[in-house]
Amino acid sequence: MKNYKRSICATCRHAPYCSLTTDMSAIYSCSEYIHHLDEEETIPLLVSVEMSSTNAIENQHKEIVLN
Amino acid sequence: MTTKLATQKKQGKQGMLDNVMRQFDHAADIIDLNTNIRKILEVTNNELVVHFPVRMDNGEVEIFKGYRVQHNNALGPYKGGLRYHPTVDIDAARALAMWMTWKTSLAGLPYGGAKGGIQLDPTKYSQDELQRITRRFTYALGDNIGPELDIPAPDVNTNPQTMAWILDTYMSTKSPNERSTNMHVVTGKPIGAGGSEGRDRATGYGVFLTIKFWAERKNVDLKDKKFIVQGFGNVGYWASYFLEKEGALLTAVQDAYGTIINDEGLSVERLSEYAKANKGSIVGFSEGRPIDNDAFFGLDCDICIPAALGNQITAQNASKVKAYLIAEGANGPTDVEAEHILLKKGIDIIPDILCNSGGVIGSYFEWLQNRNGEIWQLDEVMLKLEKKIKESFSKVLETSKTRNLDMRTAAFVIAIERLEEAYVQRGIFP
Repeated sequence: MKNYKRSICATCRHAPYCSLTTDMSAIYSCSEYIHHLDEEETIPLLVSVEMSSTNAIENQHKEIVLN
Repeated sequence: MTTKLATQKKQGKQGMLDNVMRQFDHAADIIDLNTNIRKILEVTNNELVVHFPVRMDNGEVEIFKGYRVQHNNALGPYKGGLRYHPTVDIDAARALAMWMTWKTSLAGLPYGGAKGGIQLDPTKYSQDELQRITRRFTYALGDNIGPELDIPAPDVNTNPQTMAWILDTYMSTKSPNERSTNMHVVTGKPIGAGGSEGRDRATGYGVFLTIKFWAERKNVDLKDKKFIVQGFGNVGYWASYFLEKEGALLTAVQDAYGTIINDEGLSVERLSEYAKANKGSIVGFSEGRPIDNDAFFGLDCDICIPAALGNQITAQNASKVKAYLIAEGANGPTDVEAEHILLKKGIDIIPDILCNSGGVIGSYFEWLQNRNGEIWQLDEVMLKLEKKIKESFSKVLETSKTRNLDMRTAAFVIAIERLEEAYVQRGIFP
């Protein structure tokens, strides 16, 4: 892992082979960034039974956006 | 915990902050922005830096540094993401907070702009540690966030689970009779914990809508139009999904693994299924053939959607672009020099601040539902999103025409004028 001081590429799994860019010096957002928490697929969301929804499974394609 | 007010006349500008300030200055010059209001908008309202201890799995205590920068709240509560990353610092947070102020203003939302996060490498911590870090950070932020003050959302390395932890911690600090009135302290929650239907597709749907509205204005039928997408994550996937439903053809895709092409069209659903089964990679999809990554932006197509990262269309490749419309699903995909070249060639650009605003509008809908004790159905969310984006899109196009500005400058002008109006009407206390 390279130490990109101002880039999220510093911790992205794709960085060594990324086909999107070779200039990884100042990337602030990227839809291809591998989300650390999402990698842990075995960890369930901590939501109580009362609060859970059958529609939750549709909430796929999580994203990284600036909001 | 220390609270520091931004009292410097000029704050340090680096990287993205430079870009955001340049865009602001350009628009402010065009509208001849009131000097005093310019002074206010050039700096952040509040900058909170917190150091907080967390016990690690091995029993040792580690000290973390967290930030929350609140740029402006003239139009409503501060709104913006929280990211967990080693690059989180005050400059990055300032730039991104300022960006949020313009974005929420343009979208016509009752929000200001904020950004923050924790300086850490999340890969070094367990889920339990990340949960304790998140909860302790929320406690350290205390009442500097709140459903009517500052509403965080997911960003890099934070997700619906992180928001659920923040919500739970924040609610736990309130008296029992107040707890359920604080559901809207964060957005981007899991649906079962107060999240909204449609939030997952809001940004991509917004990208599609801006393309659709552009096509309507230009009398372009989207059927059989060829489009290419850089990034097949959330935004790229959903934008492609809705465009394909409209009859358009996805002819090329580029993701972190490579680039594939098929002039006859790639099936969005089959490609998505393939990528899911292939560790997220589109490479090897049987309906497409691989091509050189550098050729992507020069491919023959009608619409180009850079939906991954910044600085992708540059002076080096702008002259090769064949699309007549660029829809910026990502933040800052076109650099300044490239934009000059593209506009000169007559290529239209739907600027990022407008094109990808569906996400924050979706967040606003989640906040509204929690605040009013309502649960909207998916179709209701999508309809409201369409109405909101149509309004922003029309304003940008009208401003662009009447003032002879490119769409990006027009978007900034609208955003800043809305803030200026608020200050002019309200005055400056005391």
